[in-house]
Amino acid sequence: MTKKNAISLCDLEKDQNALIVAIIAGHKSAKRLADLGLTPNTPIKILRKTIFCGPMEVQVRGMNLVLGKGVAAKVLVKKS
Amino acid sequence: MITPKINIALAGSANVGKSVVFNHLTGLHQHIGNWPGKTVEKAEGTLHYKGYTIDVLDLPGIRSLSTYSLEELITREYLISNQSDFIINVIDSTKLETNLIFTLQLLELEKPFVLALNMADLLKKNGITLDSKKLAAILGVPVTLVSAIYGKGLAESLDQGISSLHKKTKPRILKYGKEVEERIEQLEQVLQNIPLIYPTRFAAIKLLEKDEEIEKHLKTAHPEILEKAKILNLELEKIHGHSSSVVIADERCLLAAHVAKQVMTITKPQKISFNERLDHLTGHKILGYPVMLAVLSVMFITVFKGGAYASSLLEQLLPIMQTTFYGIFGNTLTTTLIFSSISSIFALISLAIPYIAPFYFLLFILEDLGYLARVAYLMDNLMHKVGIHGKACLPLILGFGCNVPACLSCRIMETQRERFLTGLLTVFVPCSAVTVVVAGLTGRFLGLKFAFGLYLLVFLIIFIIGKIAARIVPGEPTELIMEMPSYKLPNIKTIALHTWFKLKEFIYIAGPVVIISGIIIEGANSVGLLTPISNFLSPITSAWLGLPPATGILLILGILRKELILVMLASILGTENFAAVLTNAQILVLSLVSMLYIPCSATIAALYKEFGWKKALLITVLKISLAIIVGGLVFRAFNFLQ
Ligand SMILES: Nc1nc2c(ncn2[C@@H]2O[C@H](COP(=O)(O)OP(=O)(O)OP(=O)(O)O)[C@@H](O)[C@H]2O)c(=O)[nH]1
Ligand SMILES: [Mg+2]
Repeated sequence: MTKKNAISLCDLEKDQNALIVAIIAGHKSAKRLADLGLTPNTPIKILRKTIFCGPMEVQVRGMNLVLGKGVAAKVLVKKS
Repeated sequence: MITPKINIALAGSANVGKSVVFNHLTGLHQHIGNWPGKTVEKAEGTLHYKGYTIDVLDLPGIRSLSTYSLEELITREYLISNQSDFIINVIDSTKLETNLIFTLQLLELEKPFVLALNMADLLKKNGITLDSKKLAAILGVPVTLVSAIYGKGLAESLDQGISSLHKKTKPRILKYGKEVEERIEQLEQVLQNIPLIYPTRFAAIKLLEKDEEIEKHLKTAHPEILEKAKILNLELEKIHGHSSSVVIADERCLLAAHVAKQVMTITKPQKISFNERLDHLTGHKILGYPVMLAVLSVMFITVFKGGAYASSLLEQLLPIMQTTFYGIFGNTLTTTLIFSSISSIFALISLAIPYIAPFYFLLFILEDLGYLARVAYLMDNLMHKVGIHGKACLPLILGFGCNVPACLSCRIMETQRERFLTGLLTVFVPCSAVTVVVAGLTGRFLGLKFAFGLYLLVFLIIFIIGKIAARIVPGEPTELIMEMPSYKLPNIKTIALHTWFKLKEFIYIAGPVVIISGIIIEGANSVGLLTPISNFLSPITSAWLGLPPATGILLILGILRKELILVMLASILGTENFAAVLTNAQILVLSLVSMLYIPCSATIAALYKEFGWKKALLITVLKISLAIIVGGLVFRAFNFLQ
């Protein structure tokens, strides 16, 4: 999988499904997200978003997670 | 061998019901609620069971043993250096897959443990069936289905743990993928003869995860091992295309999913569940906000209106009590003294309980339902404006109850900077004792509108302070990452009980303080100290704030506990009809000053504990100066507008 045609999680709409391509973050944040199950090749679904692409609620590996705007921007995904 | 004394610890991810289990076992009442991160400090209790004395330890929830926030560190440190005979790993069985990630790491730690699959009562509703026997066979540890709020299955868990003490069976090792296992083995070999506080396999895995703690441990004595680990990590990174720490986390997730799949079957219900509908409404990008405002307003109005009504009913009892008391015991010096204590306790009860009881009851309902986490979600954008993120709402909301636990709860924030910023704002939140003062003065005599106005003013002040502090305190803001709990039907019985505990605690602590304060005031009065104190403070209290000079002593006592301001006012003035002795402006300003002027002594102690004496002092001075400035301005503005 390439990072070229990947988009940021922020660009997805409510109810869309995607596959995580990469996480563009430092060692610590990447590890923290990985511990929560956000790793490359994992399916992710947007459950809801607040206005201004604020935090969003996503579903990963059967768990509901809230991600702030800044984190969501670091998660690169590919629509599926 | 029979051990009469056993130590056990409760561990698991956040919000799985560990504290409910703890409360059930020990009869204590740890804070419970439906959002992750309530328990921030370990708590201990004792249980007598089948001839054993069992010391139970409740730990903060932790998702992974490589975590960063303060409360998670406590758990990690405890688990690694643990002295408990066995651990009860509590799991939310409706989220088996994600919860197993913690369990897998416990296996790696090679500590004896039993698995309690909690919330078994919710399985059916979620269309899940679990094969606990099969899970036990796969993991090599005892497994029980548990419903902690109903106390079901806990005895079995204990029995299993106790009988495993004599068996000395080691938990099974579950294997990762081939590339990873090869490298773990290589590291295990070099680690074999090195004394470590962890098992070798655990250490090897942590090295592949680039765990700072273990790297620090080996750095000076065995740099060659770190070198070796580095090479292996690079190899893994080459194969997978991302950091080896992510590779391990990923492998662990896959393993957890693999285990879960073998023991779990899900039949998704056809209908959209009530929870989903509720989530849809309360998390809606537009409607979510009016819903939130409505919820908070209903709460505000219920507490203020209902409280005022109940308070006025209770008040009517005092004259009746007085005549009965003197009728029975006669009117002597002793009986007068006794009755004055009784009436100050009664004032405490009639002025405070009517507001505190409904407040906690409603707060616990929202908490147990899971609504507070939704508030954190909705408020994230706004919180970023004051340099913190949505999770800060949780300590802030707890602050409406009592600032002390709210300060401790700031530990759920990830960095030192955010903990301080959140703590700073938290102590500006009017706690329930302050609410009693505002409700008993402004709410009752000036009306709900003015009380509401005071709250809005305080919120505005909080926002402005946050804005300024976020600029001054150095450091980068972090981002919101939070597990969203699913909505749960609040358990009214538990909520009623916890409200009752709060009230009991309140009376037990505030009662003696009220009596002693009454004696202090009487004493100071009789030796002629009251007037000098009042006069000393009168340049501020009466000249600037426009209050009667007698309020000086009240504000000093209020440092002990805020509700004393109102209760002692009643006893100094000899009436609960404050409008007869205070002007409207005075009622308003006294309420506002009470809201702002200083953190109470217990809160100052909590601030000191969490942030050190410098910051505690800074916050205290800030609050005092703000109260004086804003109070004086409001006094003048109010008089000007009248
Ligand atoms: N339906 C149901 N709910 C439960 C059960 N056990 C706990 N809960 C609920 O789960 C929520 C979390 O419980 P806590 O005991 O506070 O969780 P914890 O693991 O101590 O959480 P942290 O301290 O935040 O890590 C509360 O709202 C409980 O009412 C159960 O057996 N059944
Ligand atoms: Mg807890």
